[in-house]
Formats: sequence, structure tokens, C-alpha cells
Amino acid sequence: MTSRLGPPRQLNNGPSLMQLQLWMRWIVTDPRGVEAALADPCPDAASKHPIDRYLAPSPDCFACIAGDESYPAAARLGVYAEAYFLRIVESMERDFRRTSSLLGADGFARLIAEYLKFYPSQSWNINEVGKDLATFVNDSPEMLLKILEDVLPDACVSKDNQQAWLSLVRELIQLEWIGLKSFFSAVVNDQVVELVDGSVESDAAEISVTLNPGLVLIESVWPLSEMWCREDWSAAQSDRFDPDIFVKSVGPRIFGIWRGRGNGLRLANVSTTEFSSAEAALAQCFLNGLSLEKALESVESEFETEDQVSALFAHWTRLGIIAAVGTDAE
Amino acid sequence: MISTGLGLRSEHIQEIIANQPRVSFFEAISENYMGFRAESDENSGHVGLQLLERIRRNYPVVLHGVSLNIGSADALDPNYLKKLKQLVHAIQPEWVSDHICWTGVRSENLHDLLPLPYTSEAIEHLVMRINLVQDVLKRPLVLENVSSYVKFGHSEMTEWEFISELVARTGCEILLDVNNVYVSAVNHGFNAHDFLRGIPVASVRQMHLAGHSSGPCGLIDTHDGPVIEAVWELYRAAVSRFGQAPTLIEWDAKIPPLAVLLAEAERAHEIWSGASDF
Repeated sequence: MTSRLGPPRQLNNGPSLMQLQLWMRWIVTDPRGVEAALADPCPDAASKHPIDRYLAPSPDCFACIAGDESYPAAARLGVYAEAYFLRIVESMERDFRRTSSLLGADGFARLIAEYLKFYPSQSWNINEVGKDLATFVNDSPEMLLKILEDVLPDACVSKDNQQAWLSLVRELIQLEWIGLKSFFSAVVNDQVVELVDGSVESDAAEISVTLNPGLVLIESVWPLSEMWCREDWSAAQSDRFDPDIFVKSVGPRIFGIWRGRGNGLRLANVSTTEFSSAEAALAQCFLNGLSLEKALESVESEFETEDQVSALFAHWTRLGIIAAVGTDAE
Repeated sequence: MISTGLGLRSEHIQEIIANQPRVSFFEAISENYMGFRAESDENSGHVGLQLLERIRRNYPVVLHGVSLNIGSADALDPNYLKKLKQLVHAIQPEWVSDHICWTGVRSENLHDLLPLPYTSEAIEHLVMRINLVQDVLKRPLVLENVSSYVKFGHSEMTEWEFISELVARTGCEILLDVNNVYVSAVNHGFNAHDFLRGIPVASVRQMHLAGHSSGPCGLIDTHDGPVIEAVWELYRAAVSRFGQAPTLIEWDAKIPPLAVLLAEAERAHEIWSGASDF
């Protein structure tokens, strides 16, 4: 194979803007790095994800990249290639703080490099890059397992243990993404929530309840509230961590994730708590737009007394789960 | 008169609102606030946008984009333009800027400011798109020169000739990033003062100052440290040529306490204030 890393030739006629950009996109995003991509621009399916995007586009535009001995063209392109992965990985480390801590810096960077092959960013907002990470991990258990075996060799000794780790990481990624979406949801202001006081005693037919717009209900056998609150997730660096520290339930439980009141700019403003089936049913009624009267009718059999409902409303108000209570006339 | 300001970073927003430091203006990254409901539209809104609106009440704010993708071979994203226009309506910035670059193609965003070849094809392409954006926003677009690590053998003109042509053909204005001029000059071996001399004086709406890093072969525009002395010197020359263009300190990584940025802005202000002495 002829080396393509020497001084580039000047093209007589340069490529079009589209040709140049498609070629640069390919060379900058190749997870093997610029020099490997230049040396082997059309790898077979076994060595690289076999979609068209990862095959070198035509024409080859390397010749129009100017370089010299002290700063070769490949090294110049390498700055963009390195920045591409670094910028996205750094952003996703902030968004998936627990997962990146669990996998360690190298393991997380490998996960993201694999992810970007299938799900390159299609958003102008870098905070959206991770939106398909949970789907990707669900669809690619072998890839995740390989990373886990490399970063946690002692932890993945048995099949059962491997499955526990896979399940935990998948659930954690989903939890962190939902937490991020809740964080970016609309703020619930204190003055709005004050309207709740005394409203429950009013005529239920006239009252509508608006829940926190960031509230998401999800089912899991893992204790998501504990997982969200746990600070130390570093596993690759120590043997202090094992999936068994979280007790899985036999059947799925329901958890609510939402952004608390106020305008704090940290993900710590997002909270999780477990919902009973009755609480989840009532919350779902409000999320579906039912009035207080209709919602209470719908869950009548789930609550033993009206006091239970009043206490729940007060509790949800304190937590910021209820955003506003108003009358239809309003 | 708007003089010297700071890039608005989430690490400092609460402190800025609480203490209202002496800063002439703030620059917010457009994409961090686009697509959310404004406080003025609803009784609730995105937390960042709410805080930006509070800052806007006390300071001039400019919007600075990183994903307009003005140089892409793709069509302009109408959804992006719609969201940007909504944000402009909500914030009423002094001006709106982005970069002379491309950030992605075939609907994929590389989240980087990638360089363009300086060709007549690229000029025609950008002129059409800049005019379209200006029509949508109903205001001149302010465009920044980017740091670059590659240049293209088929370029037909210098970067400053390219920029001057865009200004002449569209009436757009220039955000002159002095650090970017320095980084590109070192990486490509041109004289930074030739660049300054090549930019039309009246076109410079704003200037940027930032820190950079040294890579194995050249300089890298990392925005993770203080402005170096050579860039301060180049800034003196820029102020001498372009006068009192509003100047902003950018710091995007390893972000220090606000006091460090205020000290950098103060130093810029001393040079900026002396513009009439040159």
C-alpha cells in the first residue's frame, strides 16, 4: 500500500465545497484517527462499522490540505479529529457523570466513540448528543460487555454478574438522560405554587392541577432514587463498588424524576423519588390533562381516605412536583 | 458606550446577578438558550433563559452562535433560524454574531468551527446565505474569523481578502477575534498585522480576546487560559486601527473565578480606553 502521509499534491482544480466537507467530515470523525484512516481509507466491515459514512468519500481531498515538514497536513487534520471526540466526550461526561465515573475515563470515551459511529450528532445543541445513548446501549450489549470486561475484569467473572452489570449500566444511562431532560425543563416558580394552599377544599370540578413539566415517571427494578443520590460511582479505580450494593426488586417499581423549584444551574436541582402505584396513577391522570375531579374519580379505589390525597398534595407541593393549581375560570 | 465585557458562563451567572460587577456587556452563547420558552412568553421558562433575561435587565447582551453553519454545503437549517429569531426577539441583543466556518454537513454536527477554502465558490455560497440570515433576523449579521489549523491548496485569496469581500457584498459586520488572528498567523506563517491591515476599518463591530495552548506542531485555540502578551500587543495594534470596538474576554474551559476574568477585562479596558491616544 502506498503511504499517503507524505507532502500533499496541489490539485489542479479543487474539490467543490460539498466534496471537501464530506471528506473532512469523514477524516475528522474516524475513530481510528487521521493517520490510520489515511492509510486504510476503506476498511472492511470487520474492522469498522460498515456503513457508507465510514468509507472514504470520493474524491480524496487530502492533496488539497496544505502542510509542511514541521507541521504535516495529517497532524493539522489531527487537531480537528482530536477536538471532535474530546469536545463531545467532555460534554457527555458532564451529562452522564455517574456512568462516566463508573466506567472510568477510558471506558467512557470508548463507549462514546462507539456510540458516535451509529448516532453522530444531528443537533446544533451539544447537550442533545446523548439522547440515543440508552437506546444504543440496549441494542449493543456485546459492545458494552466488552468495555465492562476491560475496565472491570474482576467484576464480570460470571454470567450472572455480567448481566447485573449490563442491566445496571443501561438503567443508569437512561436515568441520567431523563435527569438531564428534567433539568432543562421549565422552572417551577415559588409564587405559582402558593396557589395550592386551600385549593383542595374547593370544588374539585373547577380545579385543574398542573404537574412539574419536568416530571417523568419510569419503571425499574433498580432503586433509581438511591442511584441518583449516590455520589461515588468510581468502580474501575477501586473494588468498593458492585451492583449488589443496590437491591433489585422482583417486579418493577415506579420512580418520578423532576426538577425542583428555583433557578439553580446545577443538575443537583433534579430529584427522584419512588411513587406508589396509587400516586403514579394520580400523577398520570394530571399528566394526561384530567381535572382534579376526574382524576380523583379515576383513582378513587386507590386511596382509602381524602386525607391521604390532601397529605399527598401537600407533600408534592413541598417537593415541587405540583407546579400550579388553578380553577378552570383562570 | 459599550466597551469591554465578558463571555457569560453558567459558573458565574448567580454571582453576576447577585453582585452586578462592573462589566460593560455580556456575550451569551445563542445555542445554550435557543428552543426554550422565554419568561416573557410564559409564567415559567428555561432556567438559563430566565437568568439571561434577568442579566439583560442590567447589562447590554450580545448573542454569539456556534452552530449557524453559515459555510456548510448543506441548506441552512430553517428550524435553527426560527429558534434563533425567537431568542433574538426575547433577549433583544445589541447584535448577533456567529463564525465564518462550517460546523457540519449532511445534517451532522461536528461541534467544531471548521475552516473554509477561500475560493470564489465559497464567497458566492456565503453571500447568498448571509443575506438570507440577515433578511430573517432583520439586522446585520456579525461574523467572526476562526482559528484554523489547515489551509487549502486551492484557496484563491487570503483570509482577510475573503472576509473583506463578504463585507463588501453583504454589509455584514466583523467580530475580529484577535487571538484567532494570532493563532492562525503562527499556524500558517502569515503576518498578523497584514491581516489587521486587510480588514475594512468600519466593518469591525466587536473584538474577542482569549487564551490558547501550544500543540506539538502549532497553536490550538483552547480558550482555557489568560491572554498571552503577544496577543495583548496585537490587540493594541487592533485598537489603534479599528478604534473603540467593544471587546470581550472569552474563557470556555478550565473556567476561573469571576475575579480573574474581571481582571482580564480591566486590562483590555485600559488598552481600549487609550484608543484615542494612538
